[in-house]
Amino acid sequence: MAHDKAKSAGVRIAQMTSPASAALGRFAQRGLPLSGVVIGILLIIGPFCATIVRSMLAWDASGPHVSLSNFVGILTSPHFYQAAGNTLICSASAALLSTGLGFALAWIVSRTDVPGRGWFEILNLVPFFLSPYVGAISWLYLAAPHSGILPNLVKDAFGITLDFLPVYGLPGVIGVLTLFYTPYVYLFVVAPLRQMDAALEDAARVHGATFWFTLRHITIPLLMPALLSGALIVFVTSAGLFDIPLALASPKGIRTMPTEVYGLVQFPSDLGRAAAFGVIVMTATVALAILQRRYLSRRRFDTVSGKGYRPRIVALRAGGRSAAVLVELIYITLGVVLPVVAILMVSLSGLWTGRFNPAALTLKNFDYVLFNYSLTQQAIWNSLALALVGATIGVAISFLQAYYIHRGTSRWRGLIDGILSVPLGIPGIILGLGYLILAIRTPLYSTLTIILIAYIARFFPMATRTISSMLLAINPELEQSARANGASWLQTMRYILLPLLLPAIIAAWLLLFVIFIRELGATILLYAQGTETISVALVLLSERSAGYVAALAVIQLVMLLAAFVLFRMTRASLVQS
Amino acid sequence: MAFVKIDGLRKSFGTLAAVDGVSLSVSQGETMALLGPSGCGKTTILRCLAGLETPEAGYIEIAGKVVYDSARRINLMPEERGLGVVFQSYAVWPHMTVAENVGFPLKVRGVRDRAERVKRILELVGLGDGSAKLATDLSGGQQQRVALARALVHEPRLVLFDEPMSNLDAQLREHMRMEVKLLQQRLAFTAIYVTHDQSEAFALAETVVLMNRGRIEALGPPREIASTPRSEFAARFLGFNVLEGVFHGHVPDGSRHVEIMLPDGTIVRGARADSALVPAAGRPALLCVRREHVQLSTPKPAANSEPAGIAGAIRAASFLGLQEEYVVDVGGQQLRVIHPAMGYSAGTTVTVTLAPERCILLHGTRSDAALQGPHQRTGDR
Repeated sequence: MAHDKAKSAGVRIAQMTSPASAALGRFAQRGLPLSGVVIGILLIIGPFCATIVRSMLAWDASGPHVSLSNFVGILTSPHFYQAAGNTLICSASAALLSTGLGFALAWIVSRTDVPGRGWFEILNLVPFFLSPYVGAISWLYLAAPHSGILPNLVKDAFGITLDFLPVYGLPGVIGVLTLFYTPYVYLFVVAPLRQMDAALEDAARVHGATFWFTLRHITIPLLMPALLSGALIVFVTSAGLFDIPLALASPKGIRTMPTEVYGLVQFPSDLGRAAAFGVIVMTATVALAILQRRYLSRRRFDTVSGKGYRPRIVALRAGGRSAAVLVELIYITLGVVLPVVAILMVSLSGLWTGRFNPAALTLKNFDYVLFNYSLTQQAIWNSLALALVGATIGVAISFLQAYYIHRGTSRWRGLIDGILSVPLGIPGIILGLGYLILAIRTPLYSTLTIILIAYIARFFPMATRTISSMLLAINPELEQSARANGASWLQTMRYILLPLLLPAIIAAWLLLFVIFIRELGATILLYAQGTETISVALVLLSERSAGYVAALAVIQLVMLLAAFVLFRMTRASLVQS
Repeated sequence: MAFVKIDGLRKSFGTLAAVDGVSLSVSQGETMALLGPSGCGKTTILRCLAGLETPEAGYIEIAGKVVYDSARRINLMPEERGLGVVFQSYAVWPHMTVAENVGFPLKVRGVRDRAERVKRILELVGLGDGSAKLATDLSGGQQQRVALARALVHEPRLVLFDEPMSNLDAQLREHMRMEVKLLQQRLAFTAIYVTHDQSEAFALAETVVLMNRGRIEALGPPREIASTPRSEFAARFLGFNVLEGVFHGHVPDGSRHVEIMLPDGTIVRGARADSALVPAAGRPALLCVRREHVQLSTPKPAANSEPAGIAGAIRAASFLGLQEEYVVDVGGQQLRVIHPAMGYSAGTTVTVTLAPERCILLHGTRSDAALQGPHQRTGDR
């Protein structure tokens, strides 16, 4: 209808959109972002309520009744305290170590003139994309006493037996956690390190401070919010990570929190106790999240602004330069090169004996896994389907939530933002337990759909954050001017906001894809025959053949590295805030 | 017949009443400027007009169409109001070319001969040859032109400008001001400007609305607003010196002139802001005078009974080029003076002469003193 009038030249064309499309626009503008929020809240509340209700139910001869016996059972069992203690030790150590290492790597890459910085910058991020379970089993191939590649190499070369490498047990768990989570801290720290006003450090130097004094009293305090956020994320996520303890602690009978929950769900299962366990973990994470919000809102850290300062590049002396290169090389060797090489060696060997024989190279493991074994074939398709569909749905929900939180007008935005971040701290295995309880007597039980729902519920906040951080950097006037110039809300989304947000949307999609391809904690409780994923298949095969496990791990690795390459190709940014 | 009619408009943010019952009307083809310090509510009014903010109460009518009415629960969305808006940040879309930016209002309206119209308007704003460039490759002044072209391309009858010149340097600002004025005369749209810069408001608008704390402080033609403040806020915002004193009495010559006494006992004469002001002796009074209207001279021994002026002392002097700016202490109050260079330096005692017809007297109620102290009143930041 706008055309007709516009066709006659000289007639004003500033008339309004039709009432029908306006009504649709109004509905879309209000309803769509809200629906993203509502879905997000339902995804969280569902398993929460299910877990809480189930934890307070106990069965006796007369049927179910409300009881605290599950909690009493757990809190009086020494196993609980062993598991909690071990998990605390592991995650606190991993948080401390990866914060130190992550800061060092970020500083080397962003503030020094170390040669090859560009390469290190890329390689430092690779462990972020790898599967922690594969990382743990690859370290078993590398360092297990008697059968590991490294002890055998040393034995063959020097005749020394290296059976003290502590790959099993808490030291092994801590080590692999640290390698795997260092990039998280790195991502938190590298942006503020780059954006820090060099004058702040220069001022300390000209007033007499040494390099180390400046680092300790100026640089690190200024980075405190980023370091604390990074350390907290590592602490919480590594406490809930099931993959590494399953591979490195369980074989030695060492209890941790996630493996204990897994044990309670295994036959003969005690869902009531598992749920009580879950309630305790959820309470702790929610309390921690509230404390962190309080802390961050109380303190102001305005010294690191978004202004594009040119950071001070430190010209290292020869000794310092060697040390910096050495730190980088050690991290990349331990975190990327050795695990990948070990997995490749095992996957290409016929019968794995702990020694790589280049003469006996074979592709039969790949042939079997890809073409002859229905479990792994099914698992590959399931993982791909879950990751492709899940990432797409997750990003759509996350975009709507980010829009609601940062562009909406609701008074409750702050609270909603807080609620929607809750899954960040909830271990996958606990959320998986919640969905297991929720679905157990419904048609959803043992379907791919329930796994998909659990994935999205556990990980949408990561996508929401990625999109939010870019949305915050986009001036709302860009959208407002589209509206004022006659575009409806949907047109504004299509022509203005979504194109501008595209890098963040791609980054969020790839992030979810990677996470879903390797997820284990929630899947291990929710899979059934026919809905196994690659990670589940790796666990199931680990008792059969190292070669099959390694071949499947290589296939998973290819998917993850493909995502990483795509990620580098787009201008997408993973920088956390 | 009012083209834009605003009645009883209210909008608050939390406990702050950003717009506190404002009523205005703009006739067709008129240019109005909403002037005031930051936080006075001027931008909120503009955003309510554009539909980017939802008021709590009131009535807005544009071109005979009700776009907002709290009583009837009418609130048209921005795209239903058919306006042109130039944003402070220009809001030029970085992922589109100049032509795509400017053609956008036509595209969403489904207009066919877009290229032709875009070309015409780009020539009009002086960007005839840059249409294929990415918008982010342009300078600030060019982005401003893109924003202007985009706001005008669909020939809206009302165009809103939110601090359109504030990101330009001084020279470019004056140039653009002239161009916008010419465009407005040529295309005959009604325009509402929001600005904190009084010279911009006076240069562009036929009617200036001075705002303070969500209310209209003064409304009138630029010359009247600029020369005759009717409140302490207006005087301070416009850069007048404000001296506090008490009313002393009438000048017995039948004029509107009134005497006021400064705290140190000096008697000064000035004109009442309006005849409704009744000076009762002893009531607090304010004397407002522009910096350019204060006379300074070297003290001479007073020989006769003529008012010899006020004794003052130079506190600070700074050379401005053609003139000099002085800060003069008068009985404990500070007076800023812009004066042909006299070569005075700090510490010099001078005689201050205030021509009564240049001085404006107001009641000394302190309630509307929004701008504290004499420092921050010139031109707002």
